[in-house]
Amino acid sequence: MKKIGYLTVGLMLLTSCMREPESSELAKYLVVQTEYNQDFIKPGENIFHTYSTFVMVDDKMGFVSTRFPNVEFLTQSDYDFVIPVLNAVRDGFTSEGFEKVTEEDDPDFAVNVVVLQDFNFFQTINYGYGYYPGSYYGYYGYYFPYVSTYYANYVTLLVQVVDAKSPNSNNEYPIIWSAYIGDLNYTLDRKTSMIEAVEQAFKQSPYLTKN
Amino acid sequence: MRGSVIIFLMWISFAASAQLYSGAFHVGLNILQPLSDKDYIDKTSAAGMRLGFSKFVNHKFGFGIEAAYSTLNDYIPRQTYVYDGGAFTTDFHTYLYYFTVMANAQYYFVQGKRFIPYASVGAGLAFNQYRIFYNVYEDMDDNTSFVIRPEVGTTFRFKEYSNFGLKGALSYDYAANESKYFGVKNFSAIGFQIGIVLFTD
Repeated sequence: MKKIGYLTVGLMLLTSCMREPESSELAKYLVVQTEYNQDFIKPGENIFHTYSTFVMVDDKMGFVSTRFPNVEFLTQSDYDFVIPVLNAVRDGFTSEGFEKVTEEDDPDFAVNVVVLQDFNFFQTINYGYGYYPGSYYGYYGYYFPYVSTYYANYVTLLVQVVDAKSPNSNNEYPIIWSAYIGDLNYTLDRKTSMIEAVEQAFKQSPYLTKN
Repeated sequence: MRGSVIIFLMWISFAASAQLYSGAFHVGLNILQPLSDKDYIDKTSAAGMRLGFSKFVNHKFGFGIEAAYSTLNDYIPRQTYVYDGGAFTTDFHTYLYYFTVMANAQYYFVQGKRFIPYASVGAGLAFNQYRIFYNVYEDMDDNTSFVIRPEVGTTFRFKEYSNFGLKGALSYDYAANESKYFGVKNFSAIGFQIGIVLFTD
């Protein structure tokens, strides 16, 4: 009986050695993943070198959620990061030599900024590039290149560049660059971290320049 | 003549200790310093325990079973990883959960009243679980392989022939585990164990 007692106590001690990182350690930085469409950006050929103008919504962010399907936008009055982050995205492109214009000015590409809730993007890197059906701009009829099938409570900022000049025969507009930034729910000092992460997305995408 | 007396007294001593106790439980803290794949984990871990039982066959030999568990972890500061078609920036918390079960054979250099220095070699199975944490995300891979553990150490009794003592040991672990997912292979480590021993009838 005594031997069983020793073993039980010992096994409890063994399992007590199982550890995981503290939440505060994990919440320090947002994860930043960027991907480019290799049909448009490859050695000796970069479509961004041929483009000059872009269009983007700069007063609200798109919002796509499996939990709140009726909410389509986030505004500054809802979240304090909306305008500062949109400004950081805009400034990222303008500092690389692109000019922000209106839709009527026939822009070369569109920049869409969307917050995704309950989608898991970081787990799968090699998904195929998708298209925006019928329109390169805006948040309706949005087509996701990859959606995980299992539930995960993740909130991700997605910045995508849609080529407005190269629709295919089905009038679909290709996505040529994407930045995934997460997790917005979990990370400390969200606004500052998001701005820093947007800047990092540009920094790790040196091909994203007019020059 | 004098030599014969000493040998006789030593024989009496071994016989007495062998008759007093037939085995021993030990439990202790296990400190591990990885020797392999230091890019994944290089930090010394004190988050480990070892638990085992030894059966004394005679005053020179014994055998036993042992289970051990350690959590090894390290931190890779934030950096950018470039791959074909994109880039990824994050910091990583790398973890290895290392669990072994093995049988061992022991050789006692001498069974003293207080000290029992020994050498042993153990062999069994190692279950390695590799996990990396980055923000809320994590990736994991686990596998099972053969493990071997040569060891030298000693037990120390507070009182002569008492059933309670301490144990200290230095060991080397070699496990044939490999994680292609994380690009690590053949886990090896130096271990230091300090714990308590309970001798049993």
